[in-house]
Parts: sequence; structure tokens; C-alpha cells
Amino acid sequence: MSVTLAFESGNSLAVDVRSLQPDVVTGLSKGEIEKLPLAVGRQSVRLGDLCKVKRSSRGREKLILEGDTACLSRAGSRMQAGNLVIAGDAGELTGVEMQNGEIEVCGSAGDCLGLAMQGGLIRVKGNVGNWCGAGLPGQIKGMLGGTILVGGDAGRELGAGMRRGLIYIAGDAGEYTAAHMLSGSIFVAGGLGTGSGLDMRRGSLVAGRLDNLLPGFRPAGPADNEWVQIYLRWMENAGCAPLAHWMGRASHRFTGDVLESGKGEIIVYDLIE
Amino acid sequence: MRIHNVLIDNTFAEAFPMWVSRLIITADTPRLAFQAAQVAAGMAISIIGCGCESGLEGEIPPGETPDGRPGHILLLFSYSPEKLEEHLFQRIGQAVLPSATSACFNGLKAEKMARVGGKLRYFADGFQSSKLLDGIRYWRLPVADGEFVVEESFGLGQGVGGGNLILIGSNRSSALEAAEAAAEAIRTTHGAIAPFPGGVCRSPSKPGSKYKNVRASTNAVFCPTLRSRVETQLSADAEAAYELVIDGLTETIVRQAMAAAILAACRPGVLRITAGNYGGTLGPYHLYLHKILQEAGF
Repeated sequence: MSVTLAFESGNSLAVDVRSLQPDVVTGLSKGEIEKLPLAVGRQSVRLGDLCKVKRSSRGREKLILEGDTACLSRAGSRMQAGNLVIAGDAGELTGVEMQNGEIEVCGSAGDCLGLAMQGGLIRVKGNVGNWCGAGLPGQIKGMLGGTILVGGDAGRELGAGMRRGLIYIAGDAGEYTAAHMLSGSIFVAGGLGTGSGLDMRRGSLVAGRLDNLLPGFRPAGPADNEWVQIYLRWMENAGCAPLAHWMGRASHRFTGDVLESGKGEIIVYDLIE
Repeated sequence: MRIHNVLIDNTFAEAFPMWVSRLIITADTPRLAFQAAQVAAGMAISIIGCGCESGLEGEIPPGETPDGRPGHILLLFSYSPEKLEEHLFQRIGQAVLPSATSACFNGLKAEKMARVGGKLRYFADGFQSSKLLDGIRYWRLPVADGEFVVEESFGLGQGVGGGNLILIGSNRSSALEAAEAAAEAIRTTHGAIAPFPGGVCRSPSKPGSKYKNVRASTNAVFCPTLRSRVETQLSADAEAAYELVIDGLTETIVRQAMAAAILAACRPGVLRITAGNYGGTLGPYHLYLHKILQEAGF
């Protein structure tokens, strides 16, 4: 049973869709879905006034958001189960504090994707904005678990304060990737922005290219990392083909940031000095 | 029943439940992986004297191992989950960990798990770190050629031990040749092992002894040099017998391995194939030779 919500264009304000939990919505009738309240700015609006509701008994159980989806914020927020498909761009705070289930974004996602995420899987075909997998404002810990797989580039402060989980970026990542990272694993197939690994305490940042290593990192190679191969194989099976060319390749390994505990690691395949 | 003029006794092998673990041991080359797995299998011949039985299930191609390197699968059997956990800890810690470039992964999904990597990590003296991927925790222990990666937990499943065959030959070389062919057939059965040296046992045993503290003793009825002193199982033209012991992940696998072994052993110089049992009092699995051959389509 799938439910499709086709959002009409013309929303100048963000539409807060945090109440649309896939496992709940797919169990409701069309009439019940249309009566659900959504916050648009400071107003509460009936869902039926913002989008068309379609129900289909075919295929696996999922909630599909389509049409003008870029204005939708907090999609899949605190999601606990089910499948959510955003058939376009996703707005800000998608998958914030997500606990389980799967979110698929067919376009790009805005800032704060998977913020303080605890579990589940988010797939984004395009790019993601800033603070992907980072923590809630004012909190030290970022993403606490789960997996984020991104087919494009990431903005700044990717995985900042990350505590656990896996983030994969097929393209480049912006400045201060893995800043204040506590644990977990971040893979960036392309290059890292400046300041990456700043104040990193633990965890692993694996990247294709780095041209500006912070002075708080020390060489700690050679890096024939079996654990990296385990991740590469897992990601290859998850459809992250671009990293297959790293399999069996030598890499450079650095540990730091010595300004913190120095137990974090950056592994780079092409180091540009 | 006769196959290629070899008499197959209408009897059964008596097998019993055992706890089993399945280890995937990888390394940079197939030789290094084999070396590590072979040493980890070590002296685990008979549950009676070794506390566990183990053997190599076979090679596993790089495409099927967790880290994409060549590997070997090791099966380890014991009589209790506690004893099996103890052997896992010792054998992975003392044999796999020191082997060059090695890593060790769980190859058996089971409800009961033994925490092995989670204990071995203390060898790293505080420098250990871990990775959690898809619900599986991998420990990374710094060693002098890089890192030893080992899974946190290993599955403890219910397997079957004690499948057996006894091959009686007209002379020692014919009997041994047939026994080695049978052992090779067991090795090609996935999920089965023959734990004795080369898969072949020259000392079939019976439980107990005339001596108080001896748990098992030579099975005199199969010893050619005792045929004049005991009620022998050897005919006048038989000069040697070899036993094959078979452990497997399931009863079906043990049955398949036994059938393959019998068919491989039926060759010139072999007079008779029989099996050891204790009248049905030892274990719940009664593996009738004629029946397993019928199941194998013979």
C-alpha cells in the first residue's frame, strides 16, 4: 500500500511535514489523510488544501511526496519505521532525529539532512547542503547512528560532532568536514574542503583527495586498512559504485587532531602536498 | 548391499548434537589464509581428548569474504557453548591474531553469540578501536604489520558430530587409499569436516576401558593384531581398517558427506564398509548407511 502526496507549487513558506510518518499515513484513509494538519509558517493548514492525495494498493508500503517538494521541511523527522520517498528536492531538516526506516530523496537535499540522526537509512541522489549528519544547535554530539548515502556533493561541516554511523559522499565535501567528530565513519569519494578534521577526537574520515591537511594530524601509515575494505564492499553492495576503484589501493593515513585526543584518523588516497 | 563388490553393512552411525562455530579467516594471499586457518584448527581431533573438533571446510574466494581478500573457512565443534567460546578465544587469539596479514570474521548467523573480539581487544592495551557497520562490530587491534580485524561476536549454532564410517581393506595400502579418497569427498561437501589427521583415523575407539580413569580405549575388534584374542570384526582376508569421523553443520550435511565418502571409498582392495554405533544409546541421530545411499540416489 503506497500513498502519494502531490504538492502544488507556489508555497513561499516552508511546509513543516514532520507529522507525516510513513508507517502511520499509509494506514489512514484518503479522507483522514486530507484532514491532517500541516504547519505553514505560523498557520495550521489542512493537508488536503496543499496537495492531492493518491492511494495505491500496489507495490510495497511507502509514502511518496512529489510535486513542489523543495519547500517541505522536516520530512521524515523522528521517523521510526517505513519508507519515505521524496520524488524531487528535499527541503531543510529532512530526517532530523530519524530513528529507523528509509528515506529516499530523488533530487538534492537542503541543509541539516539527518541532523542528530539515530538510525535508519537516507539515500540522496543529488547534493546535500550544510551540516549533514551534524548535531542539533547547541549540542556537542552529531549523528548518533544510521547511514547516509549521497550521490553528489556535500556542503560545509559534514558530520560535525558525529558520534556513530556512516556517511558516504560520492562527490566532494565542503569545509570543516568531520569537525569535532567523536566517532563513526565518513567516506568522501572526491576531495575534502579546508579545515577538515578540525578538533576531531575519534572516528574515521576516508577521502579520495586532500590538499590541505591541518597541522594537528600526524602521519601514521602505511594504511592497508582491512576495515576500509569491509566498508568499501558493503557500500559497493549498497550501490555506491564510485569507491570500487579504491579496493586494494595504497593510501595515506594520518591521526589527530592532536589538539584533542589525537585518536581520530584521516585516510586519503590522493594526497596533494 | 554391494557397491563395486564392496559390502556395505546394514548398520548405522550414531551421531549426536554438538555446538558449532564457523570462522572466515582471510589474509593477503590464499597461502597465508590457509596457514592461519590450519594452525587455528590445530590439535582439535577428538572431543574426548581435545575438548573440541575442528577442520577446514574449504577455501572461500575473495568476492565472498567481508574484506575482499582470499580466505578459508574453519569449523569448530564442542560439547557446550561455554567450551566452544573458550576454544574460539584461544584459537583466534593464539593462532589467527599472530598470523601475518590475517583477519577473522564470523561465518555463522545464530541466536547464541560468543563475545570473542570483544575480549581479544584488550590485547591492544588501550589502542584498540572499533567500527560498527550494519549491526556488526569489528575490532581493530594494532599489530606490527598493520591491524588485526576481528568481529566482536561469533555465532554458536547446533551442529552434528560423530558421523562415522569404518573401511576394512584387504591390505593397508588399499584401505588407506580408499580412506584418503573418502576424506577428500568429505572435504568437498560444504559444511562438513573430517577432524582427524588428513581426515583419516587409524585408532577407532570404544568408550571406557578396563582401566578406571581412561575414558576411551582402542576398539580391539578392528585391530588386526588382536584377531586371535578377541571376537574380531575383521574377516580372514582383512589386514587393515580406517575410520572416518564426520562433523557437520546439520544432520543433512553429515548424511551427504557420508554418502559421498562411501561412494569414493568403494574401490578395489576394500572389502567392507561399516559404521560405529552404541546400540542407539549415545545420540539421537541414527545414520543408516543403506538409507543415506538411497537418499544420494544410489
